[in-house]
Amino acid sequence: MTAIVTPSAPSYAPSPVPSKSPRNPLLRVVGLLASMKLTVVILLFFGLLTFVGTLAQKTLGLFLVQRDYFESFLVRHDTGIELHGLGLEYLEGLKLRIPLPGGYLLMLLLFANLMVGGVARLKWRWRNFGILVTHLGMALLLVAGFVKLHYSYAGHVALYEGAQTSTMVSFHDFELALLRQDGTDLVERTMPADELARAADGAVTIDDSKLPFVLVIDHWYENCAPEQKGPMFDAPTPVVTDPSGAAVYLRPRELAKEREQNQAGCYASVKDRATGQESRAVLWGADMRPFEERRAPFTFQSGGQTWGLDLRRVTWDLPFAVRLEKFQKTDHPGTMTPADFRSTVSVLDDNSEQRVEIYMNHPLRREGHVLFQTSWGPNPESGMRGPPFYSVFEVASNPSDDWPKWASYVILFGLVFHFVQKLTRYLGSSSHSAKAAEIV
Amino acid sequence: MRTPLALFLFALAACSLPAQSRMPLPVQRWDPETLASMATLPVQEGGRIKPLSSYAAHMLYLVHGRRDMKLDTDGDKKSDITLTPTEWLMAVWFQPDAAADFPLFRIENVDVLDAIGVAHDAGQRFDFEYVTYRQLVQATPDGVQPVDTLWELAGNYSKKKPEMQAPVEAHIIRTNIGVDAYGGLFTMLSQMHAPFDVQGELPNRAFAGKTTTDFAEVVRHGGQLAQIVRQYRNNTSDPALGNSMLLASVLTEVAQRRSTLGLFPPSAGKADAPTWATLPALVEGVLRGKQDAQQLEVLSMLQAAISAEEPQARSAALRSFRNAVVASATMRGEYAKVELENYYLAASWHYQALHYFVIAIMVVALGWLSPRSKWLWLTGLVATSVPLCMLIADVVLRCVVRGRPPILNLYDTFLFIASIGVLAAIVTEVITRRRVAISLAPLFGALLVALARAFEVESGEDQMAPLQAVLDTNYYLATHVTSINMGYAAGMFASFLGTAWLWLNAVGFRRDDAVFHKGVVRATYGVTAFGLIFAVFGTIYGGVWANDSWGRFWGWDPKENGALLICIAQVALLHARMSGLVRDLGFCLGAAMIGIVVAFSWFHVNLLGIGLHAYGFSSATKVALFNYYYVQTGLAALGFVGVLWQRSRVAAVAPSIRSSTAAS
Repeated sequence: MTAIVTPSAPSYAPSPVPSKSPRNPLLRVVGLLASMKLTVVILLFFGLLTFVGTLAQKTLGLFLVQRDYFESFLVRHDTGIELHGLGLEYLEGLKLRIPLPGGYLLMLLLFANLMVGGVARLKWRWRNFGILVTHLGMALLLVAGFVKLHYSYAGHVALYEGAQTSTMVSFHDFELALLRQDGTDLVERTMPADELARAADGAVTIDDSKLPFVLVIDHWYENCAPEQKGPMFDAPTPVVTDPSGAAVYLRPRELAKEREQNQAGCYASVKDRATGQESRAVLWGADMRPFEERRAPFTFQSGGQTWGLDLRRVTWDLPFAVRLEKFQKTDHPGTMTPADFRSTVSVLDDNSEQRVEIYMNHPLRREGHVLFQTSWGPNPESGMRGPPFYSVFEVASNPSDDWPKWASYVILFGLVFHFVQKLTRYLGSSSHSAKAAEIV
Repeated sequence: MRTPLALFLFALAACSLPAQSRMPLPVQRWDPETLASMATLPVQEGGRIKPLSSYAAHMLYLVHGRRDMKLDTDGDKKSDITLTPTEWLMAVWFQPDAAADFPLFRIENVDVLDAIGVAHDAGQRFDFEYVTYRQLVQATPDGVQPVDTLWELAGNYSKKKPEMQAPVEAHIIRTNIGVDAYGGLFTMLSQMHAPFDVQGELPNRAFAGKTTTDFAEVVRHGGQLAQIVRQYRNNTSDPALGNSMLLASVLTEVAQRRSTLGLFPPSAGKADAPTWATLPALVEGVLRGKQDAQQLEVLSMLQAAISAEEPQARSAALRSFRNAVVASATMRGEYAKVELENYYLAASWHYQALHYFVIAIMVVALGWLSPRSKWLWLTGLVATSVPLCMLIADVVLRCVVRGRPPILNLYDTFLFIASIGVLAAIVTEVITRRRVAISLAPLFGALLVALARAFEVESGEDQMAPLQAVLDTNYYLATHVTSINMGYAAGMFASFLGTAWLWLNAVGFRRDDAVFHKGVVRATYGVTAFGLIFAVFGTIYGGVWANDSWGRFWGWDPKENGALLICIAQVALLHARMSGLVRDLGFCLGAAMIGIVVAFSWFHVNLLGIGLHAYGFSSATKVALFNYYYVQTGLAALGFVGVLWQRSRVAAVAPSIRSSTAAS
């Protein structure tokens, strides 16, 4: 005789939701957000996005993937599949792109789903305690990610041995600084890159009555390089004559895979209000490394004063100063494999000076800023050997710096608690004893 | 990059090796005492002090692709002796003429032999053949050495991206790496095998009237020779020079060689002089006037061993050399773990475990003959626990030798995941008592240990190499790395269980026993949940580590994404089960497929060549990985179809049962 085994719903599945949906639209939305099936759908999309986002890094690089896949609402993933050959000749050359929800959207949905279904509407019973704690830990993790994305900034400090600074420089972001000499002080006024980016397709005009001139920024490029105009070719962008009389223009470049390799540039026109005299220049945000010469800003006279325009990486003031006392790189004996990078620095503020060591996995945390050992030089490959060395510290300011650590402890506790609780219950259950009976 | 010097060395080696057809090999076997003694000779290589046996082993993997060398010494075309890595290395150093005829370089495609000009029997052989070093350095009739052709071709093919290389081209590149490494070994001590004439007034004065000398003496007088050369560089035709220039050029040539093997410990302490001298470094030091008397003394002892004609005298001299190095290493505090590592390699507990896992597979299979027998069940548990203990002993020994947590590299992950997977299986079996977990456990263990061994040989690298600066933190290695690998282990074993459930149902095994099948599902569920704890904690804690190292918690690096994928897949599966989206079939199918997600995270993300965890791999790893994807997908898909087929059969039978019941 053949027994019929009917698949049954698991005993630990939640009670079926009444099929009748509430009429109130708000309740219906809440019901949808609380749905565990929605959790599964979100997670499946998140898994798919993570998978294609990982593979896409091979062609797009990390920065673009991070921006376009994981920090966006919607993704158009290029599958790499050419449409020609499918009988769609008119589409020849087009690649198949599939739309996907972006990481930002998915994480927002997941957070809402977690808070509504996994916390608010979860039955607050002892048996769900572990799950509740785990969900709260996950929520904390997502909030930490949100805070990091919107309220943190990061840059670097590069110092030669003996040098000191109290500013940090962004890895990626640019700003336009308008400089004016006021007695012995240099007065700065800055405009961030996201405002400048509006000049990509038009122009950004700064027409401030307090200024003796009108400034127009146009042709903004996230990545470009200045080149000298030759007689045998046409320049793709406007040509400007620099103070030495050379004709120069900006040649746009594709965005680099590594974001910090991008060098932004734009054109600036200055029109003096009093004289109507106009001057035009190319501004280029060349990198500033300790071994490179600092760029000279574009300078002009207006209202009887000397002004400067400097397109540069965003700089921030640190609440303390750092002086590099010594940098040490140790290799494993007989190899070029690094065993240790270590910088001895003095941290100075108004009242004190403290000497600390910063090395791999041992950053310096101070006044909301964290300094990590990230690089050093001179790079032997570039032909520069021996001291003096410079050391580069990544500096991060992130209000949610420690939250993921606490979230991991909370989640671990919740998961272990729930697992042990369920295992204990299972071991004491009749189904377990029935199974045990098989081995006599 | 190959230098003219390397070309010269190959030519030199070729000249010193007369043409010889395949003949019985006159290999001198060393007495066990000397062999054991030399196995624990401390050397410095790859940034750490290790026993010679360890260095020899990974050189043999790299060059020969095997863990031992089988030789036909009597010409009957059958292997009759097997050399251990240490014995092979000693043959290369002390009997280079015989070693040149060892069948060493594995060629799997005759097109490679054709390309480099090595004669072979007509036709493609089914398997492979080994080529000797002599065949490679022996000039062809048109005066070209195959080794030069090999180098040139490999250089050209290396310019192509790996994915664009034809199999023969990739094989040529791989062979060249082995041949180049072997060339360095073969010529390392070559100058110590022949005496040197001392001619002329100045050399005779320097060598106290001796007319012949050996290499160690030439090195010892290197400073004087350098002085003579500097003094007479504008007057090289002076008869008083004799062969000073020749002797000095020998030293210069040796000083310019590449070598990474530190054989000579400095007399200074470890803190002041952490690097042992390689032979070229020692000679260069002498030429620059920086002599270390202790290193020169050790060199003389090695020279005495090489120059000794009688085997017994050679063995005695070799042991003296070894003892001198050991004494120096001990004084510097660098010998403490050398003998333990040698024991670890010799004992090879994981290899022993592999044998016992195979026995356990048979024992648990026998247990199915009487499924309700407690004794057979217990025997299966014990049979699996024995190799598990061996495996754990292996992992613990590695920890002690390195003074580190269990996982520092990918090789370690195989052994650790095998241990945790089998342990999880035994615990699952004790709880569920369905025989399924215990039946899969030894298979899981054996498979992973076999993969570990294949990976070790394939990589040809020292699997105890010291850590890079960024990884140098025992805290995160013990927490994040251990945890994430426990997640891998449980995920992989859950995949085994899920696949087993699919196949047990597909073939209609115990079709009537719903409790049995439900038990397997519960086991799969439990192991998945267990794995999730560690996968989630390990993944998040990896971010915490990254926050301390690089200043960001999450960077969407491929390795991070891989770990996240495991968490997402497991959480999605558990929620799908709880929400009723899937039942037993869907759950087990999902668990089976999560094995592929684990493999992707474990290995494949490193193959992508992007991100902070791109280690680079050989094509063999990639092939093995894709084979696993195909096999696992095939097993899951066939199992799934089989279950549907079984259910359709049951559904077809059910109405007739109902109708016959109604009729009665």
